[in-house]
Amino acid sequence: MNQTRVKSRDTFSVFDENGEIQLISSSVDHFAFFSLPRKMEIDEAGLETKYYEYSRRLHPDFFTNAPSSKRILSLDASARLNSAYKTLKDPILRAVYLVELESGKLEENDSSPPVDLLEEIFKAQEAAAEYKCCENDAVEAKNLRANLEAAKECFVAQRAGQRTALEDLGARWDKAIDAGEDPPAEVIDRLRSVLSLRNYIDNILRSVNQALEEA
Amino acid sequence: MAYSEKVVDHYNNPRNVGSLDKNADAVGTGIVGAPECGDVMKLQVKVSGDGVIEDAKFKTFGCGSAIASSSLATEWLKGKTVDEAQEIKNTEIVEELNLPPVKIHCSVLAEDAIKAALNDYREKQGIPSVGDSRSAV
Repeated sequence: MNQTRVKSRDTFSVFDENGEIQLISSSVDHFAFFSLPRKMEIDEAGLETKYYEYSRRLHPDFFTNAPSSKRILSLDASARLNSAYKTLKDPILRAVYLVELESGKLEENDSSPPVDLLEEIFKAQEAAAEYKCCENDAVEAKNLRANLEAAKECFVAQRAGQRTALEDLGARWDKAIDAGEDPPAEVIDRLRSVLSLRNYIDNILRSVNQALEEA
Repeated sequence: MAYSEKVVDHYNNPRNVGSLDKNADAVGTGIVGAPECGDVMKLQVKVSGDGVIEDAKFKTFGCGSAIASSSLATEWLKGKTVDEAQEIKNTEIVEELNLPPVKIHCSVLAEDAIKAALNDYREKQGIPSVGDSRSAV
């Protein structure tokens, strides 16, 4: 869990002083790869510019006639470039990645979601399944649809709440980093629990929307 | 990635789908979820007066492996005592269903659901809860 923190800035460069591709060790995280500070908020336009610049220099097509050692370096670096870019450009994936970097995998989180929420999700899943596959009479179908619409509204609101919480917590995280401090434990804990809930909410909204659209 | 035959069988013919009366004293209910994929699973046991699980039901909203893991779990639970049921390990589910590494968390979910259901039953009976419900592989 408490790995030594690699200072992201100025510690790694994809290219050496001769412009040759360097070997990227696994200790180089995605932020270090792009020479970005480990923050929630990043310069997304700058990331994209850098991504295209690196793509042009690293692409394996430019190394088809190069010695195999260089070809392999280009392949590895390109693969890393793509996964680092995919992770960092998305605010949620970036937050998950950063929190896991700092405090370990989310699955290792012992706190499971509140039972109330799981029960709520369960009820909505059952309603969605019933609405979709059973032949209800008109009155029953209307009731079920109303239930689903209400559930949808409730989960959409929850998701919006989570987004707001993520923004607030992210800002607090970044403030600590800017001050040269570690992110507060309370911020990390809350981020972990908000982020662990996101898949439940995404899933239930997908099911409810599907049911509402199909029927 | 292909599902094993046993997973497909449980997925197509899930055993013991349904619900028991969660307010009954003889019924223990466990609702658990997997944050990795957002799957949710409900597993219930009905325990007879002599401590034997006489019925088990599940409902799972999730992938084929999660459905198969919980379906298999209900099959195994029936006829076991509460103490025997406590010993069911996710690794046994992995083995029986040939789950690949990326689906191991589905078996962990089933084990968590069993333990949560048993603890709910114990709580209703005034028996102390047992252990931590999350185990590692």
